Amino acid sequence: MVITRWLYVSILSAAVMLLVTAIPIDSFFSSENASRSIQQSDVLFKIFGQLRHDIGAIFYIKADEYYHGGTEHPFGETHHLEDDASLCGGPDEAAHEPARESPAEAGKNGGYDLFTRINRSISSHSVIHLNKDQSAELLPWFYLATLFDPQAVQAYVVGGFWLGMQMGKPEEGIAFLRKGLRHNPDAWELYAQVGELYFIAKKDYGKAAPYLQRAFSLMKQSEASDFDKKQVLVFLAAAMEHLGNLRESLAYYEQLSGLFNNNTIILGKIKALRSVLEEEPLHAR
Amino acid sequence: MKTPLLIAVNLTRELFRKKDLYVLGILLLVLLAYVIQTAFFGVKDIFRYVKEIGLGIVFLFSIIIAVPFAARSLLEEIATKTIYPLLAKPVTRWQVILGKYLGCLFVSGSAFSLFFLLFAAADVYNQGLTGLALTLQVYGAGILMLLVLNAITLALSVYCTFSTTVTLSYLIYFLMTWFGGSLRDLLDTIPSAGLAIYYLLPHFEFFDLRHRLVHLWEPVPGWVMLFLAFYAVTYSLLALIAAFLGFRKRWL
Repeated sequence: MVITRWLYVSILSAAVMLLVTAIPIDSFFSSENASRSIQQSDVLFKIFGQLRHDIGAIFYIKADEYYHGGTEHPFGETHHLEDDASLCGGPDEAAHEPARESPAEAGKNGGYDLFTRINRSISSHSVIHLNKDQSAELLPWFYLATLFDPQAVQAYVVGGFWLGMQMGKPEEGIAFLRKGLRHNPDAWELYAQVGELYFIAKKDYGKAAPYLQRAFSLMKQSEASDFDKKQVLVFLAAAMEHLGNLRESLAYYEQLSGLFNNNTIILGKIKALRSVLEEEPLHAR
Repeated sequence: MKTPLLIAVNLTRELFRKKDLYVLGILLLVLLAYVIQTAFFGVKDIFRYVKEIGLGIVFLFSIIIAVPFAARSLLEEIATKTIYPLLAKPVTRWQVILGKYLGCLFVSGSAFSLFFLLFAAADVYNQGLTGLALTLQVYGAGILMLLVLNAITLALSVYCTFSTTVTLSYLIYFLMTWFGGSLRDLLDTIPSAGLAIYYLLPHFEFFDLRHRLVHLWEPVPGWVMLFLAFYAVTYSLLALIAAFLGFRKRWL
C-alpha cells in the first residue's frame, strides 16, 4: 500500500517536473530555430536534422575517393581536388606515395599474415587519378553533398571548379556556385571561385571583378590564409588591368607584393604600371 | 542427403509463395531506371555512380531477404509445432539443420542471382559490357557471403529469439563489412585475445568486391578467390556444427 502510494507520488511529481521544464525547453528551441525557418521547410532537414552535415561530408569524401580512382585520400596529402587539375590522367605514384600501412599491417616482425594479405589484395590499389574525360563521375557526389548540406562551401567550390574548368561547362559551374551563394552569402571562397570562372573560363573581366572584390573584402574579415589572398589578388589585379582601371590594379599589385615578399615579377609589374600611369597626364595634355 | 534436400525444396517454395521477392525486384528495377536516367548538371554519361548505387541496392535487398528467412526457418517450425511431425519421421536433427540451411541458401541465392542479373542487364544497357571477369567475381563473392551469412543466422536462431537473431545478424554483417578491414588495428591493442577475436569474427569484408567493379580495378588473383571459397565453406560448416549442437540439446 505504501509502495503504491509512493509510486503515485513519484509519477505525479515527475509529470509536474516535465511540465515545468518543458516550457523553457520549448521556448528555447523556438527562439533557437527562429532564424532557421528556411532550413525547417526543407524536407531533408526535417528527416535528417543536423545529421545531414555528416551525410554531406560523406558524399564529399566520396567525390575525393572517386577522384583517386576508388582509393582513400593518400596519407599526408593536403592538396585540394582543384590543385590536381594538371595531374589528371592515369596512375600517379610519383605524386602520391601508396597509402601507408598501419603498424598492425606491417606486423611486428615485418611479415603479413594471411588475413592482412587477403584484405590488401581485395581493397588496396595504387592511386589512380581520374582522366579528364571521366570528370563527370564526380558530379553526383558534389550534387548530393550540397543537397544534404547546403552549407558545404568546399563542395560547391570544388564542384564549380570541375564543372567550369575541367568539363568546359562554365555556365553550369557558375549556376552551381550561385546556388551555394544563396545558402552561404558570406563565403568568400564562393565569390572567389565565381570570379575565377568568369576570368579564366569566360574571359569576362567585367563580371569577374566585382566577385573577386567581394571575395577580397570578405577575406579581410575572415581567417583566410596568405596563400588564398594571393590567389584572389592575382586575379583581381589582372582583371582591373584588363578593364583599364590601372590605378586600382596597381593598388592590388602593391598589396600582392607585400604578400609575396617583393617578388621580382610583381615588382616589375608595379614598375610598368607606374610608368604607364605617370605618362597618362602627358597624354591628357 | 535426400532428406535434407527434400526439406530444402519444401522451404524454397516459401520464397515464391511470399511477395517479398517480387516487391523488391520491382523496386530494384524502378530504382535502377531512376538512377540511370538521372542527369547531373546536364551530364548523362555517369557510370560509376550507377554501379555503386545499383550494387549497393542488390546486396541490401538480398540481405533483407536472406536474414529474416534464415532466422524464421527453424523458429517458425517450432512456434507452429510443425517440427513435431517432421521429427517424428526418420529425420535426424542434423538433417533438419542441413535441410533448412540448404533451403535458406537456395532462397537467398535465387534472390541474389535475380537481383544481380537485373543489375547486370541495367549496367550493360547503361555502359556496355565492361569488366566481365570482375563482374563474375563480384557475383561469386556475393554467393560465398550468403553461404556464411545464412549459416550464422541459422546458428543464432537456435540460441536466440527471432528478433534477436535478425538484429544480431544484421549488426554482424554491417559492422564487419564496414569496419572489418580496420578492426585489426583496434583489436591488436588487446594482447593475445584481441588477435584471437579478430580471427574468429566472420570477415564479411572479404566478400565485398563491389568497390573493385565500381572503379574497374583488375580482377582479384585466383588464389584469393580460392581462399574466399575455402573460408566461406569452413566458416559455414563451423556455424552449422554450432547450430546442430544447440539444436540437439534443445528441449522440444
